[in-house]
Amino acid sequence: MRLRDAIITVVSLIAAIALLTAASTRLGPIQQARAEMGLVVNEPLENAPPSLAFATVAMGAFRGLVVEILWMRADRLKEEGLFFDARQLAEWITILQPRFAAVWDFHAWNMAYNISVAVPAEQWQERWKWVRNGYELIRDKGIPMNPRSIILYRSLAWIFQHKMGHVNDDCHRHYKRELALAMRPLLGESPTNQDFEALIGAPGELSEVVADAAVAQFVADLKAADKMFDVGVADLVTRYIELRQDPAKSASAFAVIDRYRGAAALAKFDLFARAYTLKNVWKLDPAFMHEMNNLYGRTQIDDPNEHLPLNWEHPDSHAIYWACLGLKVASKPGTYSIDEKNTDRIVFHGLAELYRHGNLILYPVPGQLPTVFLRPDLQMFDSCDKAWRQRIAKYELLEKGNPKAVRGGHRNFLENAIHDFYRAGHRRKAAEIYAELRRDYSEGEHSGDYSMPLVTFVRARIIEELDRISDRDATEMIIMSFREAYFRYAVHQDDIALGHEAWAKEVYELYQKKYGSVEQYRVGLPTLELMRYLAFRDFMADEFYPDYHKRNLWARIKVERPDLFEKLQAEEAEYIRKQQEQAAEDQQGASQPTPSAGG
Amino acid sequence: MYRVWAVARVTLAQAVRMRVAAVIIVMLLVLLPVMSMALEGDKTLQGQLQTFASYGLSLTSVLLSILTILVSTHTVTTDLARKHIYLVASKPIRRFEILIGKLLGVVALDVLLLGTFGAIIYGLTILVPHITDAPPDQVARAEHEFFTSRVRLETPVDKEKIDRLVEESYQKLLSEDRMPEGFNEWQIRDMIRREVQSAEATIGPSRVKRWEFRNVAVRDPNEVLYVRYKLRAIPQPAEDQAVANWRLGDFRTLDTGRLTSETRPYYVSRKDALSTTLEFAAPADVVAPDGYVALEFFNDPSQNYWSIIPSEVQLLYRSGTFTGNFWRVVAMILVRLVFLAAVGVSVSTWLSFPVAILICLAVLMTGTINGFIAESIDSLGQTLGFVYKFTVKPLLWFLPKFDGDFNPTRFVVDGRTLQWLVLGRAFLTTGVVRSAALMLFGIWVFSRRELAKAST
Repeated sequence: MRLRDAIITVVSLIAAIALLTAASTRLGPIQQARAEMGLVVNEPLENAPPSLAFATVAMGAFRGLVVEILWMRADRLKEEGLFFDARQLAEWITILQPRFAAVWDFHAWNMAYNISVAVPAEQWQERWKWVRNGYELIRDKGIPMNPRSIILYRSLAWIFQHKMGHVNDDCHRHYKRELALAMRPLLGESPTNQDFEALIGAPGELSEVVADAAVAQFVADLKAADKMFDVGVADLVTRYIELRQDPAKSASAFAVIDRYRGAAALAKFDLFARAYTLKNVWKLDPAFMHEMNNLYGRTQIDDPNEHLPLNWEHPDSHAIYWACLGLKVASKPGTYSIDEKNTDRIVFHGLAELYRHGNLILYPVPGQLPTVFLRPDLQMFDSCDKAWRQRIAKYELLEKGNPKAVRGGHRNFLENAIHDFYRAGHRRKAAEIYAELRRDYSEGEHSGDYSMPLVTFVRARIIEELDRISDRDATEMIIMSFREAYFRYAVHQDDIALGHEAWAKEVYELYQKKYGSVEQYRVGLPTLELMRYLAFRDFMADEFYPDYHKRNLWARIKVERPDLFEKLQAEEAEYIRKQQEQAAEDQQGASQPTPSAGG
Repeated sequence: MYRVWAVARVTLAQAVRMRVAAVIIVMLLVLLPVMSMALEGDKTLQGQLQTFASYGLSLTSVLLSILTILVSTHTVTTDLARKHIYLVASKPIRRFEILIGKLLGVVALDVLLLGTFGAIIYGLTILVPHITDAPPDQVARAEHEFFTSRVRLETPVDKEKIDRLVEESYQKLLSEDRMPEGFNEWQIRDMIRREVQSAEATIGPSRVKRWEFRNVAVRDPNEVLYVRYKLRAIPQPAEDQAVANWRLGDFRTLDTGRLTSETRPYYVSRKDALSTTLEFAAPADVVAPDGYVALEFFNDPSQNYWSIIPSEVQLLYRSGTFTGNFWRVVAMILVRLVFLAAVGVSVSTWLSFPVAILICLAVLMTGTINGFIAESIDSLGQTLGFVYKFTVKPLLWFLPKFDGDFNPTRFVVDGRTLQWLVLGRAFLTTGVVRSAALMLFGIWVFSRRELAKAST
């Protein structure tokens, strides 16, 4: 090589090294600037499983292309109505873009909302499967990968609150039932705070619980009785829980449980299994659940100081759990972003829904799946009221104003609550709420609204409502109250049943007092006894209630309320007699010749 | 002919010895069984089978396409570059016989490998239901909807009626002097046509629309028919769902006033998601003995407050076996490979190896998205669309289509019959005509090529 060429080569090399070094020093500030400007959507994976780390790194620059192809395939198959690959594609896309929270959000929503409704409502099992796929994707994978992404907590809570808790989906009752049936074996039908404390203290690993020789012996006996229990801890626990619900799954294994019934070993293992399932399958932390119970749980109507557990069989309780967890873990202090606001609303709306429909009645029907009924849960009033007040305070502070709309909503809530409690027979509680209403809202344009006694206030509202409706609507209102009373009686909520009966009578008396005596023949109502009978007939003819439910009601009335039974029988006889008289008159009228117009 | 086969045998032997062939063969031998177990789909038996069939056939098709391209280009360009061609060209063999021999060798490799992996996929698909613990209802569903071959019937659009309505509307606008300004006649007619088509397809509240299917050759009246459709609504409901009321049967007797019919109508009423392809099953005894069946949609105003537009309405019924259909799908893949082999051999006669590979891969990619590009051109703006329509679109027409109805895997996934007519058409146009055209061009170039000249 000539000298000139050599010099050029050396100088070029030095220049290249210098420039590369200078460029590398800029890398740090560039990355920082990208992060500050929010341009980084895929943060580096830390502590990820090797397979996941490999998948995200191995493809290099082709990862984006592969992701695009997968997205296009997912979209195309969805349009063609082919969902066999949707779950798999969602999994792969989320593997390739694990830190992009919106991806998890989209796929979970796609499965829970879009794909599920593409399945006919008659195939509710398939629909439920897709709803589960949706929330499990976020709960089991999205949130662990993105623990500080509040939109995932919000989306998860929304699936529980909206998809399962609301009534838009034709299969919503199935979802509610399945959730309730899954929760009941873990928490019992009416868990107490002590039950939750026990769950918190339960051992976390099988090795801890089998350190007790008696428990170890129980587990060994179970495994020896049936090979299906000789498996890993996750499957062992799942199969044990299933066996407790359905002994027919393994008669030999259930015989072991029978042998240990009443023994401490069984109780310890049972507690461990339930706590394990809550933590590892449902990803619910009993300690945080207990915290939610203390914060938002039900209260005794006559003693609001002690919080009882939330109804964890209801989807809104789960919605509240995940929303609160998101606010705790992923909210940014000092700011109140739109995502946080939306998550906050889920808590509030969840409490309101639990008040309006939180009493979830799972009515067993032999040989069939239980039927689900929802009724107001008056024990949620205090938590709901507290949440309202907190919301008002928050808006007053954050928005520095007088949140009229929120206060107006709260006032309506209290007014409605007064009627709810009054109708249910809890007059004292109704009076307490009325006092609260009077204290907080007797100002301005409402200064005179709450000055009258409680009974007058309640009756004034009934009269106001009766003024707006016809006699037929009033009849319907009373009959509906009686029907509700029959339903409550059938599910052994006798107090509330009597409350509804008393309410029906009160409405009847008020109406008759106002309209009945003067214009009986024009706008008067049928007799109360007849309406009670018609309500009973309607209830028994309503296909919504299973036959088993109706037979139980009939049997209960016959045995426990013979007076009512006699009245119903008398009314039925009278009703039939009148129907027959009417039919005879009609027939007579039809057989007589009609006079001609020309006469 | 024996000279051609001699070249073919040598080409096959050469291909089998290539490392890339060994890699692809090993990959498929390992991946296919793993995929049959690892791919769960939606965790139902049918989902698992559909996922495996889809990915298995697609992977086999892609890898064998790449192998075909590599082998077909390599065999010709290497012979030319390394001057091995002299050993052949100096023998009493014509140039075109050399190329045809090369092509046949590559095709023989494709037949061998495709047959082998096709059999593996078929075998695994049959085996999966026996080794998984699927509940009986899933097995039954897979039997009805996957292990089947269903022919698809659609009612053709009444073009004469559309043309007549378009003409009437156009003349009316003309006579009333209400022609839109700024548009030429062709554009106005096009706009009117879209409106007429939309109006014909739309079912307003309280209205009924009928589709008639003839020559429905159901083999067994105890079988099941499927109706497939997609719904749109105007205006769009908030819940993205609408109530669909269908009935199937022979309603000709009702039209003539007679109430008797040899078939019993079948009614379906359900709430459906919009813009998603949906299906429902109906008993095959709704079909009249002469093969006629009508499908009606009623837009119940008490349930829907919007107009409904059903589209892609199809009637599917079992017409063959899964086995026959599967092997027709494999044959369709073979047609694709034959074409790629012809492309590879043809371009290798005048291009170097890297450039030939690039061209072949470009053809493969274009074929895979041919339909998508054609659709995109149709949706372009006026000026640009006009230009593309007379330049790019004819070129796309010449190139093969590997997507849409020519993507054979969807037939297996969907349990839909790949008809002999479609296969025959693909074989003829792509496997014979286009391949022959390419080979003729390649033969023409090769015949005139100076073999002793150094290639650049």
